[in-house]
Amino acid sequence: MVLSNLLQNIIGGVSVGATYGLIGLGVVFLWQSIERINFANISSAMIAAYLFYTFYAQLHLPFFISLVASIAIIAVYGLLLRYLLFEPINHHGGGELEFVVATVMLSTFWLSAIKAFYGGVPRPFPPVFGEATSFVRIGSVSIPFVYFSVFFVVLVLICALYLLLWKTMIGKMLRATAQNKETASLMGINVNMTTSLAFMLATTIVGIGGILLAPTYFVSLDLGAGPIGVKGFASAIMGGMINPFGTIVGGITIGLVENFSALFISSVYKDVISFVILVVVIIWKPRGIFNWTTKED
Amino acid sequence: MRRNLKRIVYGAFLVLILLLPLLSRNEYNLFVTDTAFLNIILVSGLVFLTGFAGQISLGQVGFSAIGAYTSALVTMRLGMPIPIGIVAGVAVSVIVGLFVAIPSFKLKTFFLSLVTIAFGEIIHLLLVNLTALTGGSQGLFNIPPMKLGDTPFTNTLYYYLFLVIVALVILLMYRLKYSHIGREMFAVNDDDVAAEACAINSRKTKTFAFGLSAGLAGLSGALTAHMVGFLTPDPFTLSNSVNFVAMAVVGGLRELGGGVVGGFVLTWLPELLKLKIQGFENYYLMVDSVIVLLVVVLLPSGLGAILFKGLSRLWGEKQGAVTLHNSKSKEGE
Amino acid sequence: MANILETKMLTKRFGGIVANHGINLKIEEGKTTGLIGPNGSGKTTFINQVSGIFPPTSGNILFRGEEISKKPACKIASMGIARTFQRIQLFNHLNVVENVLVSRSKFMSASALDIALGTAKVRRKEEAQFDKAMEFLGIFGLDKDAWKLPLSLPYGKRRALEIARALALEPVLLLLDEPVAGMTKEEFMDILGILDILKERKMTMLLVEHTMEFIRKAVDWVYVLNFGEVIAQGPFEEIEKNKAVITAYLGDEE
Repeated sequence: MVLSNLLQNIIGGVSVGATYGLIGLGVVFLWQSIERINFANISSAMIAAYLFYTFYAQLHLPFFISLVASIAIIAVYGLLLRYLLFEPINHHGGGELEFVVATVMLSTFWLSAIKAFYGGVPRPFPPVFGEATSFVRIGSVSIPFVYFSVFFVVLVLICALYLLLWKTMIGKMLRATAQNKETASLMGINVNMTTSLAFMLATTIVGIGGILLAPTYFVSLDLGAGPIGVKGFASAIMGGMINPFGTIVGGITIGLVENFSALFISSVYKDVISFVILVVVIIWKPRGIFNWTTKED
Repeated sequence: MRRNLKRIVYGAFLVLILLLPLLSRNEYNLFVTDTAFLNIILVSGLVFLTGFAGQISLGQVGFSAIGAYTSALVTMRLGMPIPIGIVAGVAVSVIVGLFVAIPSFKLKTFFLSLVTIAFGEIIHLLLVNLTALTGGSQGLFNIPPMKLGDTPFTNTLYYYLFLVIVALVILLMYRLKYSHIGREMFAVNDDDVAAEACAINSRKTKTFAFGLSAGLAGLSGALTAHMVGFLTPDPFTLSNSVNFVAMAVVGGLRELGGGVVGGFVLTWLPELLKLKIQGFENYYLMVDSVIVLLVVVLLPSGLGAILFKGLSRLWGEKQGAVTLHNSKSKEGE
Repeated sequence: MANILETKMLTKRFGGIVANHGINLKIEEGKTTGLIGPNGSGKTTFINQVSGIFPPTSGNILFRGEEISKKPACKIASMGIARTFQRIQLFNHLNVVENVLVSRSKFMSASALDIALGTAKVRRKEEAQFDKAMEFLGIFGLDKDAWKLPLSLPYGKRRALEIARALALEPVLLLLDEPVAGMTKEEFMDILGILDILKERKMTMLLVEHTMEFIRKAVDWVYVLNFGEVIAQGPFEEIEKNKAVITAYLGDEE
């Protein structure tokens, strides 16, 4: 019995943790691009999950259409975020603080909007990642199939991201711009385009993350609320705000620690744990858990 | 400079706010305005910390809670008179504030904001879990109200008391802003390395700012405790800390009256939205956050900045100084 | 002649990089000393250590005989070392005279309580410091611009303001980090003029510069840095003929 609990917690922790890492990637991409923190980062997750739910479970559109539509909308949202929020604030003389307040307000807006139109009751997520009752047998232990399918999707996504960022022209341009805007533009890179791309990439990845988190958190306001957003930030910080793989590893760490503290201490403190990790990492190792170098060096 | 015009406008404003409770006898409106005053006290401290000294804090309600619960406990459990309770509340808030300043020595903006969020969350957690002390989620009841003789204060009496306190707070901020202390704040805000090169101890400056803003938040909390009569952990959440920061930004971060404008506008706006439109309760939070969002995006320097700059121009005052009286400028009109 | 500043085997390591290695440098009272070297030779790192922005990895910094290498920047500034920065670092939200007043904070012996009470003593002190600040602005011809915001001033005047702010600290030693970088011929001459004024006041200075023309006209003694080490020192006329110096600068045209 203890073994089954242990194995479940490990696999579950890795699975949900990897998705926290995806949320963290949204933070990292935007930070690398505009040196600002989007406090409404997690809202993209909630919006995408609700969009998918609306299309697939409510309007009964085909799975593929629902998925593509949700992702497309959330990508465009990223663009709107840049031109309706970031650029105007900059233009009117606002800095980091104003952007923080604006995005926090945006997050509040999305939570209240979703609550107004969908109500506060969590909806069950359609079983696209496997039935809630399907399990995988490892010896005498039963692990929910969902853990595996979600983790698999995250893995595929990370590989796709790796290929995009390291093996394509566009990816190289994105990374060059992140390193040094002036140099990149002197080299002929269209910094305007890469900035828009970074915005869209951030919201899209987080959106997909939201859809992947919905089986665990349900299609609910929790998907867009504080505690889970904190886990995204914590993952990003563990990756030193720069390294995508560090971010995913950080997220997995949080997922594991969460599950084990719920198991051994108390589930009440589950959310606090990620907070504690975050504060400890900030104070102790601001460059992330493996000292990824930061931009300022 | 049209000094007389300035005197007339401010004089009229003074008369208006002094007579307000007598003109509008609506108890609910008075209560909301009383709450607005308390928010103004807290937000003024936040303007000082974030706008002047440049230190972000998304955990101010933590200090408010400390002030509130300390004063409540001192008056209830130790039987002390209310003024002692309030002084105790402010004192404890200030002391805690001095410690919260420490992360700000090395951390900036985003990372500092996370630490302040953590602070607020920890206080909230303590409020809920230290049941013997705080009453847990049930909270504390029967907190002694302020009394005139044997009768508890009415909303009107609170109005005048809070008005006096707000006036004193603004006076304090006025004196600090137009002094070398204010200059040190703005210098550290703009460039703390350059400030240090000018022999300014940026740690001392930040600590002072945190201590002062914590004290004002604690004062606000303590007064709330006695006015409302009961305390629960519910209002001391991150989302309220965020609301206060929104008040500071909307009011005008670098404005002396930023706390007044922001505190007043954003306390009244949700009330007006709730009242004016039927069945609006579900949507008012949405609309409220959009309005704040629009102000922050389009007018990041705040409504207060527009207001006071407009007034300045109205009576032909020279602009350009932050910590000096513009009348010192010898450039004429 | 006393040594206002002396460094002994000053070394600074950043991870694997040695930015300053065993630097022995002396600055004599009343003289203007130059510190030159190609880009990346460690000049700014040196100034940052002397002004207290970060401590050295090893070695000593002696200011009027006192060891200051572990002291924080604000303490070193109040002891009498003022500086300007490579990229002009003014307080852009404060106006010109307020920028200078920031340095005068050191001379305002008023506590927060005095200020809160708004005593006449405080008002008098503020007046006195305001007049002093305007005096300093006057030296640099900036008094007419007192109420302007720094970013509305031309580049040359901004640099002058930064120097005025440093001077307002009434320092014993003034460190200037690339004061004429990126300046037009006119602005350059203005700064030279400022330097003459400072020399008239017998200010001890350390000048970090990249522009040879400026060093030639401005300094009494030069140290040359390359890859973090002092490779030569002496009067400028000797330095500009020094083989090692020439090699270091090869390919580093100005």
